[in-house]
Formats: sequence, C-alpha cells, structure tokens
Amino acid sequence: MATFSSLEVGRRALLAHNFGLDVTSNNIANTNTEGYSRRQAIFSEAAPYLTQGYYIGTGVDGQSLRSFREEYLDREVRKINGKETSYENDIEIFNAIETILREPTDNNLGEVVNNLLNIFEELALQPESIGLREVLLHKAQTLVERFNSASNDLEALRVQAYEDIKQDVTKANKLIEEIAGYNKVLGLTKDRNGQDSLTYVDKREVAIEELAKLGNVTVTYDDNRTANVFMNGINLVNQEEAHYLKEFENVDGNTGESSLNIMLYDKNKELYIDIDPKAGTFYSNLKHYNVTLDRRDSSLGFSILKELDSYVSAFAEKINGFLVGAYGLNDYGTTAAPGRILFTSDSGEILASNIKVSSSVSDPADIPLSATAGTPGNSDIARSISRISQDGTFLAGQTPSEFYSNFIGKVANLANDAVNGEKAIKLVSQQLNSQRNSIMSVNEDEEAINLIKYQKNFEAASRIITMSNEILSTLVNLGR
Amino acid sequence: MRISSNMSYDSFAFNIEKLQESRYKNLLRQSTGKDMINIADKPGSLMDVKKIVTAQEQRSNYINLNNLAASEMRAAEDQAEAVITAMQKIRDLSITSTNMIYDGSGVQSIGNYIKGIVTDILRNVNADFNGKYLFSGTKTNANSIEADNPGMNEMPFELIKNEASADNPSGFQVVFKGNMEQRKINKDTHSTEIINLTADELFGENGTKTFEAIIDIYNILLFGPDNTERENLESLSREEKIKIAELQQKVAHDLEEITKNNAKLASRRERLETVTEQMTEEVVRLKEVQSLREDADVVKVLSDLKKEETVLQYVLQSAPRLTRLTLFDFLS
Repeated sequence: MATFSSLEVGRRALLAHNFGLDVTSNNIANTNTEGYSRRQAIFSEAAPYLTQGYYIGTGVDGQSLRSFREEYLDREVRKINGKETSYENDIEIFNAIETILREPTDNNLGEVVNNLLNIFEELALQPESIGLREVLLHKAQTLVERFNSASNDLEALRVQAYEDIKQDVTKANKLIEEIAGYNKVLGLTKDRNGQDSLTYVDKREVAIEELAKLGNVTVTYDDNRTANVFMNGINLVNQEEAHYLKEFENVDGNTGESSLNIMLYDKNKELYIDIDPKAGTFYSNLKHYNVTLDRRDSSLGFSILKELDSYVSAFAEKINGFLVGAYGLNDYGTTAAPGRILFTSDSGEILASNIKVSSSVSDPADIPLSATAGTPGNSDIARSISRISQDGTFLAGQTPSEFYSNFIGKVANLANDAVNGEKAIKLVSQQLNSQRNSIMSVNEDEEAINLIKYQKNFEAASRIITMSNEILSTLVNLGR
Repeated sequence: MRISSNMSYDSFAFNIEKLQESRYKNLLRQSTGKDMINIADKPGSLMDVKKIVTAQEQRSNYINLNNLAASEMRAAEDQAEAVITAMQKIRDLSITSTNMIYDGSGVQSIGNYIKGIVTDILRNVNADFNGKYLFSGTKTNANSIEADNPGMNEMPFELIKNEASADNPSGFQVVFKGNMEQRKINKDTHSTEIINLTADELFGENGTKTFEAIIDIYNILLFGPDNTERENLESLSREEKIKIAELQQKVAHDLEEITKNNAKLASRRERLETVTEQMTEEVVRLKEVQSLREDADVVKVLSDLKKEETVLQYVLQSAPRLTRLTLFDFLS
C-alpha cells in the first residue's frame, strides 16, 4: 500500500503544480488585459488514511482559485468613472465653445460689436463720409456673419451632443445585454467547487464599469453572485433580464423647446421610465443639449445660445430704434422719415441665427444717420447709437460690453469648473486605480517567483514518481 | 505596498501626461506672451480684461476722433481769423474813405477794394475741411445746399446781384444757404462738444447781417445820394460820412462778436485737447492693468518651463528602467 500511495501522492503533486503553473501562466498572459484580476492557485492537503496507528497524508488535493477583486474598490472606481467622463465631456464641449466664440482672442464677438459702435462714433464726426459709411456696412456684415456662424456652430454642437447621446444609448444597451448575458453564463458555469468562472466575473465587471462611464451606476449582488445593475435607482439588469434604454425627444408645442431624456423602455409593458443619469457622458451631453446649447431653454440654467440671442436681439433693436426715425444723405425735402433700419431677419425676431443687414441700406448714402432731412452733417443719430456702448439699460441692467464680459465670464466659470473637477477627479481616479491595481493586478516579479516555485515543485514531484518507480522495481526484482 | 506591473506604467503615463500638459501650456505662454491660454484658466481676469480692453479701445477711438475734430476746429479758427483780419481791413478802409483827401474816384476805389475783401471773406467762409463745409451748420456738403434759383452755386455763402433799389443801388446781397445747427461729437464716454461756428455766430442774424452793413458801406462809396454812380470829383458828403461811421461801428461790433465766438471755439478745442490728453494717460494706465491681468510673467514662465523640462528629461530617462527591471530579466 505504501509504495502505491507514494505514486498517488506524486501524481497528485504533479497535477497540483501543473495547475499552479497554468494559473501563473494565465496571470502573466493577462498582465495587460483590462479588468483582469490576478488569480492564485489554492491547494489543500488530501484526506489522510490510518496506517500503523497513525494518520498519514495522501498528498495535495482540492485545488481552487482565488481572485483578488475588492467590491469596495470596484464601487468607488465606478463612481469616479462616471464623474471623470462627465467632466471630460464637459471640457471637450467647452473647448469647442471656446473655439466658436474665438475666446480668449482679440477677435471675439464682443469686439465685433465694439468695432461697429466705434464706427458710429467716427460717423458722428463725419456723418457725410461715404467711405466711413461703406466701412460701417462692412463691419455690420462682419458682425452678422460672425453671429450667424457662431449660432450655427453652437447648434451643430448641440446636434453633435444629440448624436453622442444616441450612440451612447446604443452602447449602453449592448453593455446591458452583455451584463445580463454574463449573469446567465455565470449561472451555468460553476466550477467543481461551485465557484463562478472568474473570467466571466471580470468581463462582467468591465462591462459594468463601461456602463458607469455613461451614467451613475450602482450594483447589488444576489446570494448566487448575480449582479443587478441600476442607473440612478432604475433597474437596468435584473439577474438575466435586460431592460433597454431609449432616447426620447419632447417638443413643447407652445415654445418649440425640445428636450431630450433617457428613458428605460419596457417593451412588454409599453412603459417609459425617465432616468436622470446624474453622471457620465449621458449626464454631460443631456445638460448641454437641454440647457447650455438650447436657445429655447425655459429652465433657469445658463444657455449660451439664449444669451447670445438676447444680446443680438437687444443690439439690433437698439440700433434700429434710432435709425428708423432718421434720414439718409439723399433724403431731401421729405417730411416723414423713410424708416430704414440696419438689421433685419427673414423670420420674426432678430436672433443670432437669422440676423442680416437690411437691403434698405445697401447704398451707404441711405444709412439714416441724421435727425432731420437734408442735413448730412447732422450726426445726432450716429452719436446716439455710439452711446449705446455706455447704455446701462442695454440688457439686464448692463452695458453691451458688461453684458458680453459677464456672459463670457459665465462660460469661463463653467469651463473652469469642468477643468478643475476633472483635475481633482483624475487624481482621485489615479489613486483609486493604483490602490486597486496594487491588489488586483499582476506583479511580474511575483509571477516569476511562482513560476520558479511551481517548476521546482513539479520537478520534486516527478522525483517522487521516479523514486516510487525505483522502489517498485526493487520489489519486483526481489521476487525473481 | 504591493506594486503591480500596471501600476508603474499607469503612474508613469499619468505623470508624463501631466508634465507634458503643463509644459505645453507654458510653451504657449512663452510664445504668445499671454497668461490665459484657455477661457477656463482665469475666468475672473478674463472678465476684467474684456472690460479693460473695451474701455481702452473706446478711449483710443475718442483720442483719434478728438484729434480729427481739433484739426477741423483749428481750420475753422484759421478761417475765422482770416475773416476777422479782412473785416478789420474793411473797417479801416471805411474810416479811411471819410478822409478829406479822397475825391469821388478815390472813394469808389475804396468801395471796390471793400467788395474784393468781401469776396475774400466769402472764399474763407466757404472753405471746406475733409470735404465738408466748415460754416454751413449741418448742411455740410454741396448736395445739401439748396439754391433758391438755378443761377446760384452750391456754396454756403454767395454774393449775388439783385435788381438795384433805392435801399440797395448796387443790388449786391450775400445769401447764406446752410443752416445754424450746431455740430456735436461725443468727446468722451459721457460728454459732448460743439465743434463748429455757425453762420449767425460769424455774421449775425441769418448769417448775413454783417454783410448788409458792409454792402451799405459799399453802396455809399459807389453811389451818390441820388443813387447814381458817384462822379469822379464827388467826395463824400457830411451825412454820408456820418452814415459810414455808424456802419463802421456796426462792423466793429460784429467784429467783436466774431472774435468772441472764435475764442469760444478755440476754448472748446482746448477743452477737447485736454480731455484727449487725459484719455491718452488713461489708455496707458489701462494698458498697464490689462498687462497685469493678462500677460504672462515671463520670468516665472521661463523658470517653470526649465523646471518642467528638467523633470521631464529625468522622467523620460527613467522609462527604460521601468520597462526592464523585473525578475524575468535575471532568469536564465
């Protein structure tokens, strides 16, 4: 019995250390695999047998695997991921806005307005100068083009946010399906110890973390380690069941304000549940689509397009208000003012998107700058218009330059919040990931040591077999 | 602490990214001379700079315009000065004409001389600056000058000849076709200034009153009491001399008015120039404040850049060691 027992012990040792080598090799192979948690081979001593009054061990048995995943760290990383991607997306959008508004350069929109007002100031001295009037028309056209272009580009940015949300919804639905799929696979792939396949656990965690980059995700685990995923309290994955998201645009019939929501869509119940993502790219893009870049936004938030529209509207209204009762160079002998204006639009209120130079002043001599007919040297109107720059009631109790400075200040503060937020979060994220990697990731030195260890143990185990073989040969030869 | 392989790489990548970003920003600061590269850098300063730049540009614009306006006012002053000299001459000639030594033809010569001076005065007051008439109110160009009949020119002042009458045997009359409106400019952000002399400030009521007295003098010198042209030997009568003395006093009074009004114009110009000088100083101060808010501290930027480049160099040098040093490197 003893001789055959040694052979069995040797066989078990060979298998065990081969298992150890497999685990180590897998660790080394997956050093750079995203979300991979290192594994450790766990050995236990096999059940002993009683011989000559003593219990003798029968080698190694009951190998199992240990994974180094920490639920607390996973949860914190998920939280940070959502905030980080939200800030990153904010920064991208504010960088685009900064380019559109040409800030902080000397060629910004406020400067274009100041330039036009300065020309009116020059015309106050030389109202009869056709050359200066030509310059005025040119500056007005530049202003119009700059505001049109800024408005169109900001609208395009809003459309981009919508497209990003749609893509993210598709991505989220794939991830939701993936997570539900892993829950199912994990239910079917228990190892001989009844443990989950760690590979699928890791893959599921990667998918959950990806989902957390889109919105605020929380996870609960059932007793059988099935992950149930929620976005801001709304259940997206319930065991093997996936609930899908859908973007939903709502247009207000009265104001035309369009707002976008992310909804949980239950096909069977034809039910939509609004999800407020609270973090991630969903949160950032929805915020920009529904507020920052929405010119019809009715919330109390800061809308760049709305502010630009008010600025343009007030400016055009003020200038036109002065011009409409004034006379051009060729308006002799008329009693009623010809009613010409500088700015107009093709439809309704003059806004950043539709402002244009009126065709009624295409001849520079027709620009009405005189308060009385037949007096080209009368610059009362030009002087009054140039005084708009000092008008403290221009808009929201501010002068044009104050309004624009404060407007840019608000944009800059939002951008600054995003940059500072990202900086702080990145640092925390780096620390958390380091902490998690310190526990979960592969250490090449450690694996090299394990390789040597298992190799040597494998060699030693093979020596047990060789020795047992020799003993058996000796025993067989005894009988000859 | 257990150090996994990925930790080293991740920290290395994170730190390199931070260093490169900071270095890139400082390089931009160095090349642009500006401290603010993005709007997010210093929102407070950005708002201040916008307000400062606007104030500065407005002042610069006022400085240029005030200088132009001052040139125009100076031109008006020069022309008014020439008018004053000419009117003084008319006055002197009027007094001279009453001397006993002049006979009829001598008196007529003086009368014609006075008429020539009137023509000179009209040339002075019809002068333009930069394409606009100086003394025609807000009717500053030829198109706005409305002539009563087709024979008239498109100048603000014109000497015309009407039918002879008992009151005006020569029929001469100076007509003014402009208006008496003041031309104003904004001289700074909150006040305005009048930059012209109107015709009535120069020549009294309707912008021609002074000329009426001068033409009356001319008529007395050219025509006798019966309104016929003065004979060669017909010198001025006592009544005519008294009349000329009265008219000459009127001219002298108007001369005083023009001198006074021209002095007013000069004082307005000086006010304008004083304001302009103040604004020039303000622009310098505003530029200083703008620079403090906006410009990069070159010494700081350069020392930061040097520091970052040194650190970056060492970090990059450490990369080969980071990728090489594991136990595997020593296993054979």
